[in-house]
Amino acid sequence: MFLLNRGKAIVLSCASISQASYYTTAKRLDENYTHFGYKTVKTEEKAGRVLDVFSSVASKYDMMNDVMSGGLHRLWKDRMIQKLNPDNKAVLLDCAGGTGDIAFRFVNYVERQHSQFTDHPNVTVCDINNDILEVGKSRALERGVSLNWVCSNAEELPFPDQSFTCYTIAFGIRNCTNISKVLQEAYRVLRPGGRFVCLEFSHVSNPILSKIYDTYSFQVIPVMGEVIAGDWNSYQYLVESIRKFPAADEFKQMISNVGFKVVAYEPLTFGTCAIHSGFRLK
Amino acid sequence: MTDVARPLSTVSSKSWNLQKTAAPPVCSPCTRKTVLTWIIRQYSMNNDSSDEQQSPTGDSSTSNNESNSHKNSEQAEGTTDQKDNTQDEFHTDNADDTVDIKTKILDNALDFVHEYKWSRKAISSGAEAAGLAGVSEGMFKGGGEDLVLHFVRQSNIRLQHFMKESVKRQDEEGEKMKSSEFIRKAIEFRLRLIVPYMDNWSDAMGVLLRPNVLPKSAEELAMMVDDIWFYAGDKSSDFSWYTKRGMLAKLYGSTQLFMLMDQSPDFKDTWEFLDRRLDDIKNIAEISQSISTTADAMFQAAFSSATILKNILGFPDRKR
Repeated sequence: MFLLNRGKAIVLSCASISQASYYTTAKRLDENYTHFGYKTVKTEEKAGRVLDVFSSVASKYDMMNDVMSGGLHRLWKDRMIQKLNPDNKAVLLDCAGGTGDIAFRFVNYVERQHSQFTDHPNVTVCDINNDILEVGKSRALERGVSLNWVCSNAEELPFPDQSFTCYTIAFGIRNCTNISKVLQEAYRVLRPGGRFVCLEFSHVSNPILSKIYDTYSFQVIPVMGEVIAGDWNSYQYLVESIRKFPAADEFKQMISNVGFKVVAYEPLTFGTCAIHSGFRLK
Repeated sequence: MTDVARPLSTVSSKSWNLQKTAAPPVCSPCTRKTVLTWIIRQYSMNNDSSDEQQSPTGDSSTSNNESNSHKNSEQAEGTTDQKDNTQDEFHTDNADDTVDIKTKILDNALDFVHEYKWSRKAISSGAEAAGLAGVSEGMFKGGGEDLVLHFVRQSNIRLQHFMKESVKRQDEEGEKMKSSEFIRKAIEFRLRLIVPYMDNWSDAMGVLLRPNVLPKSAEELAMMVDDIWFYAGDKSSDFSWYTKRGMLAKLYGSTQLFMLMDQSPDFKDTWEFLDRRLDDIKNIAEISQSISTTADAMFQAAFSSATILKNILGFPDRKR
């Protein structure tokens, strides 16, 4: 019994040490600096660095997603659209959706549920990275779906107020420099009644699972990145940035703070991901 | 309904005597109602917590705490908050203006029930009619269930207003309606509220009987029959408090079922059916009144047979 307890204590302490070590690297950031993984970089540099990361992996991006998540990311994205449950008049802005994963699912879902759109699918895909957008455009050509493709920063969207009814962002908000700004923009472009849905990595709360997850993230993913995409650092950044992203409850609070109502989140696969959702009601 | 709405006279001197002698756990109808509500809520809370354990990725449709908050605040204060706290799968926050908007959406959605039945599509059309984007339908995690419950709650509130008014009118005119007559009027009024949705009402009844909805719909029914008895001037504080409400609930349910099949003009057959059932209840009430005077004797008779049985089986009473 004693041994058992000790064993438990050791596991717990390991977990707490590894948790703590994420944050020891986080120096007190003043407004000129922000985090880029565990590194601290100048605020204006981050967007450029993120751009580099995704440009370098653009061609292998989808394949890496499949390999890293064991195909689970497809289920997560399906769940996201299912949760959004768009009607046939929905107007979608998919931010950070370069390869069109969400946009195509959206179009499929509406066509399946409502047989078709009232007009042609009104979907705008927005991404900061042109290389990724090109991947998406070619995939759209293959599928014969016509979407709008816009290259823009999610913090400063080039759209008028209240022009969309759905705003989705999947695995993108983590890479943005100023999350609150992204949320404010999302609120601005949504019509009253519009829904904000965000799929993003989150934190595994179970100490044992989180240990396993951490080992996988830090020992396996960068290696896979090197082998498959030929880029260790990008995937090192990926796993670090996940740890830097606010916890589900904290992020939920951030969403509420910009004015969204009925904010809720749903953890997926032990909390590795979470779908946050909020409504603009006024 | 708040306790304030109930005149204090409902706690009669007779009930105080009864409380001393027979000592039922609670005395006034309103306290009983609170206890009943509490029990039902406990049950529905347990239900909700078991939903949470199913899976974190599971569908959320089973637990809709939001539908609770748009219910009339008169009906359940305090307890709704309690329920919200127990609901952790979806950490939702319910602001007051949100509740207003939700009510507005559901009110509008009722206009689309004919077209789309009690569905998500009806709610999303309702949202559009209320000037909101259709996807705001996602706020209602129960979908059609929320819509049906909303309709039931709204109808019960209308019934309550109707009864309040008619009691007021009686007081002004000074002539008291017989309680059976009052109950008949109340039930007819309540059933007539369903008439506009008659073509889809069987679906709605099915929804109300779903295991995840049942606690809430049973609560609504319990509240409704309690309201009817209260406005009918029921002052019972003995076991008949329960039987009366039980009988009325059954009466309402069976009449509703009869109504589903009724093809007669203006549901004439239904009202005749209702009258016949009410006569039954009247007879039972008369019998039960005569029984209540000899309730002790009945209890003793019941227990004596048990004692005899025990003695025969060889388990003598220890107290002897």
